[in-house]
Amino acid sequence: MKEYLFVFRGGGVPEGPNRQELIARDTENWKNWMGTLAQSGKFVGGNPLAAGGKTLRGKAVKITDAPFAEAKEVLNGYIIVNSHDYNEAVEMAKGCPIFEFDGSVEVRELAKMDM
Amino acid sequence: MPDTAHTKADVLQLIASLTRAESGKLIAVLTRIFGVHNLSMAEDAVQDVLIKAMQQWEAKGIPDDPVAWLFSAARNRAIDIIRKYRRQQTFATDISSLLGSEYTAAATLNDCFKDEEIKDDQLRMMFACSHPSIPREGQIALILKTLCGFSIPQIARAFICSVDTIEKRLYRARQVFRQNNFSLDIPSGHALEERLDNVLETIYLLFNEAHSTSFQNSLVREDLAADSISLCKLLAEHNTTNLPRTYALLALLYLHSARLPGRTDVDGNLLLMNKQDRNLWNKEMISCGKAYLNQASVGSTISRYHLEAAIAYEHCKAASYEDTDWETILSFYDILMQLVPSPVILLNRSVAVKELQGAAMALECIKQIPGIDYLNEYYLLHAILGELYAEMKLIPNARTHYQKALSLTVSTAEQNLIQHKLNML
Repeated sequence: MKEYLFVFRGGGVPEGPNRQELIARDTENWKNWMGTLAQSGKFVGGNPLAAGGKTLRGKAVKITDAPFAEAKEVLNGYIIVNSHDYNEAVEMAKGCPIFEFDGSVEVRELAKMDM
Repeated sequence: MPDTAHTKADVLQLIASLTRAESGKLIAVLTRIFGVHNLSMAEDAVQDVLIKAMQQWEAKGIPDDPVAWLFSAARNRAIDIIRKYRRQQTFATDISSLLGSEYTAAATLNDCFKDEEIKDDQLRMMFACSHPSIPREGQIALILKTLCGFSIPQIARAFICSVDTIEKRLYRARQVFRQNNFSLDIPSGHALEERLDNVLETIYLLFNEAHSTSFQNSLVREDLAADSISLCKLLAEHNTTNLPRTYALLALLYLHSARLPGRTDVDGNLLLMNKQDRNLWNKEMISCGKAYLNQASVGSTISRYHLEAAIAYEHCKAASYEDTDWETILSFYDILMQLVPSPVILLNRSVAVKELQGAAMALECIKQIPGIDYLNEYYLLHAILGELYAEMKLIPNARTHYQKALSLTVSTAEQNLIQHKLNML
């Protein structure tokens, strides 16, 4: 069993008259999706990220406000799951509610360094 | 907030009654969330919530719905605790990872606080507290403390032992919780029957304790009897645990409780069944007991509770002591003694033998009870022997046994009863 990182970008609930309702449903969908992962022992952990941030860069360590990209490219959360391989991990990620609002999931295997 | 005319005394009284009525539910929910190994964390959290309630209500007045206030405060306290300890603690195995993530923590907690879940949590706690790896006395102390909301001094007074003793029992019981991370569940399949028998036996003992006359504090006693009935009801209302034997125990509890009002005279003296005013028996409880006994009468297995309830019902049914159907009662005892060959059951059976076949025959029965020596320090054995010898006009023997009985009970009511009999010899 290996560990995989799911990186979430975009997928926020858009402004609109029934936004509150959509947020409530979205929250429920995320809970159900992760609940299913947890039930099969796949869910390791993870958290949403607050808006904003700082980026430090260069030898002179220049600091800028971080999320430079447009909204749908902004990193806004991550989770780690247990999985046998990429195929299984991708199948898990397909169930993520983020796609409903045009977000994306990047799936990456956690590396083990040679010791 | 509503009017602030509540005095400190109002708040204290309300908190005391809410502690008894609600803290068991709160501890059950929080233990389900934090995990069995974190029982103390759950108990401390509930304590914190009650203290916070006391402070806030004294300052700002009692809220419109105090129970809802407690549950929402408990939920918020749970969130604080989870956020504080999620990196170094695991909570209940099945939801620990969900509580660890901000994505799912709040929603998972809200699910745990749904009414139906809370009822199930109380059942789960009952099974956990009656876990076979906890010593008997510890099981009862733990149920009284965690599910029934009694304080340690109250439990100590109830069992006429020191606070220290109860604390030790609780400590050992909690240690089992800490060390064995068994899941908090309602067993199913073939595990259910054995585990359910344990739970039923605990409730049965709880009820017996409440009604043993060594129990001095009558207020606690009534509460405790009511609690054992409501715990048993929870089991009867759940579709996994509503086996016939559960209904049979519930019937037994009702049929015993129904007769309590007749058990003492106006001065608080104990009355034997032949002296009791049967009009004082609670007819509503008798008919409830009968209905539960009918519900218990399905399937092919018969439990001790079936038979004991049936015996109790025979007593309830008889219009007077003389009308008691002793033959039917004896026939129930005959099956019961096959099922539970305990000296106490056989001793009780001898009373039915006396009514049907006379004192000499009953005495013979008692002498033949295997393991009767174990009962040598049992008050009731000597009370019954005294009675039998008195009836056989063997006065010196009767006196010896009555005196022995007198020395074995700490209850003044029982002492008065025996003293009265001694005087009548």
